[in-house]
Amino acid sequence: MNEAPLDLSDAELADLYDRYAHVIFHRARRILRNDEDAHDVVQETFARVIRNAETFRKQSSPLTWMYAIATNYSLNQLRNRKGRKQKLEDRGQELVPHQGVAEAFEDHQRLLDLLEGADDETRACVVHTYFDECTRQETAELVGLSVPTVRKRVNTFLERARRELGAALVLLLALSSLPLWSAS
Amino acid sequence: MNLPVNEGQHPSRLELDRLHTGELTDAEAEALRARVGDREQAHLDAVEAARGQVRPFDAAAIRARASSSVEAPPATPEPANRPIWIWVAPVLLAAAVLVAFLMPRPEGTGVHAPQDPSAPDIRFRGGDVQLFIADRGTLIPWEGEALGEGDVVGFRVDATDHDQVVLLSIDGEGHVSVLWPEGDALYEPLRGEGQVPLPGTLTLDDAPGPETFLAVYDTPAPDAVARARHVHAREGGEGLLRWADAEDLVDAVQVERLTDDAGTLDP
Repeated sequence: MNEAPLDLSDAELADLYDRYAHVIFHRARRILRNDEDAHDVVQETFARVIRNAETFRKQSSPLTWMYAIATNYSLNQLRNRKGRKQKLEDRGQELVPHQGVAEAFEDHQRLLDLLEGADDETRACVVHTYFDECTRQETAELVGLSVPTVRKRVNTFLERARRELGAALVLLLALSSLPLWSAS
Repeated sequence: MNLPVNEGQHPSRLELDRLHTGELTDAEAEALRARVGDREQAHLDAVEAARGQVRPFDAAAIRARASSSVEAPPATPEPANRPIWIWVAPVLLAAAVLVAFLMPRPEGTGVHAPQDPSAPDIRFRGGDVQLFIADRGTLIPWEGEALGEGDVVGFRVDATDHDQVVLLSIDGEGHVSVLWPEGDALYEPLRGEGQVPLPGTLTLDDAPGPETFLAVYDTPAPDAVARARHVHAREGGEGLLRWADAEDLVDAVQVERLTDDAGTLDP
C-alpha cells in the first residue's frame, strides 16, 4: 500500500490554496474587519497546514480544521492589538441603551473587545455561534467541547456582555443573523 | 432575553463554505442547496467574490513562515499542594506534580485543545471539570480510562464568572465526600479566568464506581452536598450528569473504577 508523503508538495499546496484561501480570507475579514490582518490569517493557516501536514491529511473536512486554526489565530490577533482594553473601557462609558440599529451594528468592534476579555474556549464558542452561525453541535465539534459546555460558555459570555454593555451588545449580537453581517 | 442561536433552522456559514469548497457529498450538497435562500446565496456570492481579493499563492513565503513560526505555549495557572481527604500522595510526587503544572506545556496538550484540532478528542461527560492523572510524576489529561485505588488525580474547574467552587465526589453507592474546600470552609475560592487548577492532588481510595466528581459553583458546601445526595438518591450517577447538563452552576466528570474482580464475567 502506498502511503502519502508527510510533506505537502507545492502542487498540493497550490490546489489547497486555490480551494480554501479565499474562504479563510473572507471569514477572517468578517471577524477582524481588516484586510491586512485577514491576509495574515490566511498565510498563518496555510503555514500550519504545512507544519501539521500529517494531521491535516487525515481530516475528513480540511475546511473545518482550517476554521479552528483560523479562529484561534484571528482571536489572538485581536488580543494582540494594542490599546484594546483601554478602548473598551472608554466605549463602555459612552454606551447608551436603546441606541439605533445602525449605530450598534457599526460598532461591531464592541463585540470583539468583549471577546478579548474571555478565555480562549469561550471566545471560540462565541465566534462559531454568532459569526459562523454554527449550531451548538457544530461548535462543539470545532472547539472540542461537549454541547452542554458550549451552551454554558456562550451563556456565561452573554451574561457578562449584558452586565458590561447592556442592551446595545444584545442588539449587536442579534444583528449577526442579518445579511448585512456577512457583507464585506 | 434570548439571542438567536442557530438550532438547525438554517445552514451555518461553515456548511455553506463546505458546500462552496466541494467538501460535501453529492447527497449532502443537494440537500443543502435546497435550503439556500437569498441570505445564504448572498454569503456564497461574497465568498466567491473574495477569490479575487486573496493574495496570489506564494509557496516559498508560506513555507518560510511554516519553518519560522513559533507559537507561545498556553498559559498554565499555578496550583499549590495541600492534603485533604485521604491524602497519601508522597511529598516528592506532589512536588513533581507541581513542577509539571508550572511547566509551560506545548500547544495541544491540554484537555481541551482548541488551538490544535490534531490533539486527542477528549470529552468530559456533563461539563467542564477537567481531570488529570499523575503519570511518572507528571499530571497528564485523563483519557477516559478506569481509575483504581492509589491513582493520583488533579482537577481543573471553570473559574469564568465563578468566585467559589465546591468539588464533590459521589461514589457508586451514593456516598458524598467534599474534596474541596478543606475542613469546614464553605467554599474553595477561585481566581483567574477559564480553567484553573484546584490546589494539590487527590489519591483515590477503593470507592465503588462509577465515581462522579461534581464542581458546584457559588454554592455553600452543605447545600451542594445535600443537592448531590438528593439527585443521586433519585436518579443515580446518570442523574448527576443530567443535573450538570441542566445547571449552569454545576459541572461534572464521571469515571469508572477498577475493582479487584474487574474483568471477570458474570455467570
